[in-house]
Amino acid sequence: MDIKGYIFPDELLYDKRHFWIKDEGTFIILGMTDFAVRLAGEFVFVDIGNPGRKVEKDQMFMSVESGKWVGRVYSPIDGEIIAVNEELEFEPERINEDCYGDGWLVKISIKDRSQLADLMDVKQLEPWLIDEIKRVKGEEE
Amino acid sequence: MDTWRLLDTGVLTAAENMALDEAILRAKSNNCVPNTLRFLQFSPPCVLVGHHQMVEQEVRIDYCKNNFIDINRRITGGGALYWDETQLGWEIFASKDHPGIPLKIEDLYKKMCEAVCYALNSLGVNARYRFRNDIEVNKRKISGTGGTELGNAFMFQGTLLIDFDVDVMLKALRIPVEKLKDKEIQSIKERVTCLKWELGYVPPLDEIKSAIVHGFSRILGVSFIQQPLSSVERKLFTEVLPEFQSMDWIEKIKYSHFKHQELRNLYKAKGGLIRVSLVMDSLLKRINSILITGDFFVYPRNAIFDLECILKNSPAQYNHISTVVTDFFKANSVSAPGLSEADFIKAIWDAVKKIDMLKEGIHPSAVNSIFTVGDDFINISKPSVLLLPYCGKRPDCDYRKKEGCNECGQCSIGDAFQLARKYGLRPITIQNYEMLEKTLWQLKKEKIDSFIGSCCEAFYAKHKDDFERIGLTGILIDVDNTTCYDLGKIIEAKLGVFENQTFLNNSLIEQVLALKVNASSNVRNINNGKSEEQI
Repeated sequence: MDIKGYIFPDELLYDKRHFWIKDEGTFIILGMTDFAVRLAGEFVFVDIGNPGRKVEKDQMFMSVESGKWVGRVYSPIDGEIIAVNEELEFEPERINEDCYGDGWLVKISIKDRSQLADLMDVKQLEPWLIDEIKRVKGEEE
Repeated sequence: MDTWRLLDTGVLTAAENMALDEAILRAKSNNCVPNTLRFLQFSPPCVLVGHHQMVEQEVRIDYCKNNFIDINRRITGGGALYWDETQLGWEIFASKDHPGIPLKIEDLYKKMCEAVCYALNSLGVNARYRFRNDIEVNKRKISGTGGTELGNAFMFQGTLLIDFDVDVMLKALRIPVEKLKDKEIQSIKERVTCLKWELGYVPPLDEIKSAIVHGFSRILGVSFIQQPLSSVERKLFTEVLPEFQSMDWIEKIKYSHFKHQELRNLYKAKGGLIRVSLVMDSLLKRINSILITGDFFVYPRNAIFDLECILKNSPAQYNHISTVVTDFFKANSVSAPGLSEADFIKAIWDAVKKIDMLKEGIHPSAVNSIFTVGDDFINISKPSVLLLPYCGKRPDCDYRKKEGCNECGQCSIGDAFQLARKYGLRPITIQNYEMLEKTLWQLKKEKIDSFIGSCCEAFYAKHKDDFERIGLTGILIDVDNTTCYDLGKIIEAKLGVFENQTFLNNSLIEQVLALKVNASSNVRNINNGKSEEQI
């Protein structure tokens, strides 16, 4: 779906921290949305972390950096990191180039599937995001 | 008018200041405290690396340890900074959804920096915001910035250089300047400034703080009231302080291998010498940062600083570098007597191409100890002679002023003679510049493929164009220790009467010999045709 010029794939879930989530059954894949990436600018560092680390819902577990700004990455669910995108250690710009594909951040095993109910599909995301986009575009005008 | 808190936490250690950053940010994200402007200072002096930097790569740890300089890590991004007791830090903690706060990070930076520029202007300093997070005065950096966020709160911080000790900064940080010589220190001084250099004196600290408060008040449309830390923040501070004092925090970032490579190059043209020092990411795709110094004049005077800024984080591709430099020269009507933009492009590209050496197995730390004449390293092969400086022999050696060596083992020249024998090269000791020139012309007559030699970087810089005029290709390896140039004995050396001793880097000489003696040229020439575009 195109929301005011920003791309949000229909098959993904989203949170209000501007991350996308792909439900793969036993685990999720987490990444940053087109809107978040374009707001941030070019990424220069990603602290990718290690598989095996346990994460908690709404807790920060990794960080990214663009233009001297450190962004914190929060887990949308309780679980365990089963894979990190190691390419980002030396090619953080993959997040900018393909945020829904090669620029994925981590894969997290799902401990409690009910937590996915807190996430939004693209239709639920739209009205909230339109306000955020209005604010950005309002600044640009 | 909205009222914010003015918080002055005074002089604290690095760990305490970093812990307070985290505590205040957490309290703000939980809406426990008002939006805040904080002032901070450091004692003892410290180096703070950016959140994602590796300490070993950015800091001269031994120097800091020996000089009681703390090392710590920020929660914000950016590069490593040296803080002493005279500098002032300023920080904004606020809600992201405050009406005066831009959502786009770039715009937020601009607004915050404009507040500080307003303050500096009121102090009589002509400051302006420079894209990519700096505040500059006549193109010289006076304040660096960075930020982070937590939930709905953000923190934006900056330094203000009040009275600055460049020498200590260069010794504490790993900045790509060659051997910390006077010229390089001077080139760094040209790129930074502080209140004292701009005003000729240091205004009282209260006056500086008051100006900054007024600047934020004006730009954000808020007023400030002085208030202390809250009990929530003090509690959080106590909880997190141990983490910020721990080596786990300070050494948090360890990349699988060094994240970047320093590359240096000298380029000579009619208009002078261009020295390029650049830092490339370890995948060797981007120029992380670049310093362009040397003996040349350029107008407008500080145009090179802007060019360095534009080249920061740009792709290490010939076409890109060429376009950026050409467009920059045109857009800014840059002129440099005796030099064209083509010279600058070549100087930069020649530095980038030094990564070829890594691909041939030269250790990253040795790359800048190798200079080439007449061609790129990768193309030079089959050396026939090993040229050695007479100053590598002991001052009391019988062979100091004549050809030959009895390989007594008392200097590095004897070992070099053994290497020459091992690899089938003819060793020639060069007594003075006249002999060098004569020797090279003779070797050219003999139609040798190339030579290997050893000389100091200063000699190479001085005579690079002489080498190229003669037209032989060769590889020169830097000498260790104090040279005639360091001691101001150039004339003596030219005449062959310099009385100090230098030391050859024989292990590097051997590595180069091993690579080149049986190699054929163009085996891995990645600079043919299209591959010139990107390494």
